[in-house]
Amino acid sequence: MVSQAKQIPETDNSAVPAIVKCKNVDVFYGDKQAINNISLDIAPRTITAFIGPSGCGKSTFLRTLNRMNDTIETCRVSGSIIVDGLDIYGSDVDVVPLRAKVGMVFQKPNPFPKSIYDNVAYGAKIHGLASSKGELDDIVEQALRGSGLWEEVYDRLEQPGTGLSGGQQQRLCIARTIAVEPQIILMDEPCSALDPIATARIEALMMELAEQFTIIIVTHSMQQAARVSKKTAFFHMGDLIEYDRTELIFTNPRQEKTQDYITGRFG
Amino acid sequence: MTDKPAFKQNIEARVAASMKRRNRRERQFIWLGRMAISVALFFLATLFVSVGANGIPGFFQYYVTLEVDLDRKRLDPAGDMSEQSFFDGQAKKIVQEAIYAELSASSRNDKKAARQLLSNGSDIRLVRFMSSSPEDFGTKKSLRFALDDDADSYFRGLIDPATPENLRRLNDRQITYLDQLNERGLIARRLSDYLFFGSASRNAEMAGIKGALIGSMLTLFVCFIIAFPLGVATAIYLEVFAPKNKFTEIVEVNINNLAAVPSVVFGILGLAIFINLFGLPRSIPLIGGIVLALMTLPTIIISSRAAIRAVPPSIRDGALGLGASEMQATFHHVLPLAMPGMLTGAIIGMAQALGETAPLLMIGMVAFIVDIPGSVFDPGTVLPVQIFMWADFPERMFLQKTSSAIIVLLGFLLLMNGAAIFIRKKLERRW
Repeated sequence: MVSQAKQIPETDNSAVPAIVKCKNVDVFYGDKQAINNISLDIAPRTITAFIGPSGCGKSTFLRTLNRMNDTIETCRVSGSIIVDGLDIYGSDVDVVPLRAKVGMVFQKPNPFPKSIYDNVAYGAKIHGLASSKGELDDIVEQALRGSGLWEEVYDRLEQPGTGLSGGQQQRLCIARTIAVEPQIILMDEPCSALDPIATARIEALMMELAEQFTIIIVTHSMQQAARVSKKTAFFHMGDLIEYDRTELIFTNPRQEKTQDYITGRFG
Repeated sequence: MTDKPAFKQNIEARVAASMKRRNRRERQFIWLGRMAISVALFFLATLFVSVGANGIPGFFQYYVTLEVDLDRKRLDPAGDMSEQSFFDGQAKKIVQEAIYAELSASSRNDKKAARQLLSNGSDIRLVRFMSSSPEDFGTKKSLRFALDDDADSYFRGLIDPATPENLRRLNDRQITYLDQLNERGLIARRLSDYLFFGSASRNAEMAGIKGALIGSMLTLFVCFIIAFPLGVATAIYLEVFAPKNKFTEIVEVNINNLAAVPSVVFGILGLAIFINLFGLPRSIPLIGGIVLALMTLPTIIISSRAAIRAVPPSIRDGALGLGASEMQATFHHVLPLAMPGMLTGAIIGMAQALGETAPLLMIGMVAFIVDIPGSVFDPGTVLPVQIFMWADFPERMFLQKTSSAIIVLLGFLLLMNGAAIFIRKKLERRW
């Protein structure tokens, strides 16, 4: 694993300091270890993909980055994760501002059972980002434009977000996340519940968003990782097997396990 | 085919054979279910028929129309229409004179027989009429008065004139009088105003459920105000915030146990703590409500927790992922979705509380209270306790009124459930 950590300076992002720095991260569920001593750095304003077979720990690792694993009673994390200069597992860290900084989009679109407007405005409201109704309206519009949904919903903002199609719901969830202006967006298999057309829209959107945000995506689809990400990390049974530029992972992996996985020999 | 082992041969035939057995089992089970439902429906129908047969006549009672001389000097001697003045007046005598005149009763025994046909509350009825229409002072007016419960029972066919005179509650004289009044068309069967607007009374014809109904409402109000917020808050704490450890486990087990504690025990608790220790007055809806709240609390907690658990975790995750605190995620997103379920639980608990008698007996809500409670601090009783008390009285008319009160109680319950379903549907419509 140490060798992987050393690879990062070799990439073309070497000039830019990493926004996420993980060192010797272990994650346990009760007595069971789900993540074994992973160290990796993530460069800002890129898309990083986590791939690997089911149960390899990629989602678990993703959820440690905004401490969503805190909701699981038995989950324990050790090691250090520095996000934007802050050790997020430090004793005095409040998860609320952390999650405002590190947003999350889930596997299944989960809009709140409220109006489209309220869905997008919610984050801004709880964090007090808008000082007036007009400002809130602007935030909502910009977020919906940012997620490419504005043209489709501008005339029915008061309708329930749950009434949209699956792909629209997922873009609504993305709008809801970017309305809070996070630095990092974690996406946990955001397209696994969507059809190919909706998936293509989300992928295009991710690439647009990557100019402004750091996106980390967990995906089952190797094609998706190959299409959108700049760097790819391959997980297997809680280990980080290989972490490199995406084109290298898919064309010339160094590890045999990676080779086996991307050629479909297991997984 | 032949080289296959025996268990692989004739699969289709064996499946067909087993289908017959399986189908028969299924049919048997369906019939068993239908039988169970039929038995339940039969008992329910029996209940409704028996309660209805007694209770619906109980909603009516017999009135006699008498012409009364509304002399102001005799009715209102002080002339100020005050309660005291009416009390000093001769309302009772005037009503009695009216029936003497109607029946031409002159001898002492005749007069006694005649006046016993009238309800004891006739004078109060006359005074009430005068207070509401003072312009009728000085005139003669035909007014309706309730019959005494024995006379009433005669018209209901509950007193048989063929019974020997000394074995029935009306003598021959009185029966003749009643027949006379009936022939003249002065007897009328009407919806009983005493039942709906009267309160407890030892006179069967005057007894009503208004006091008990208001007592029930006040008690349930207190019960809801205490049990619902407390129950929901407990459920939220246990479900969302409480750490999972030995202590919360013990709390959880005990809440479940509490739901199974006989209600009379809660009554003893209320008696010991609120009345004996804190010295609060007896028989008041406030204590009744608190005791019922203690009883309802576990039901509300258990159903509220189930309702919270039924909200998809993805909603809570979505809110937390945006940086909402646990409390914000709970109150903004989980609670509105869990509310219909919580209300259902609360209504089930309240319905239980509405029908509860035993714990209220313990805190003295069984007292004979004529005044209708105006607040939760006034002594009162509740519908089921009223039913319990009436069921104990020997008069035939109380038997019918008991069933009438049961119908009202069931109606009240139905209304509550209807309201709950309405509220739930209304909340659910918010997507």
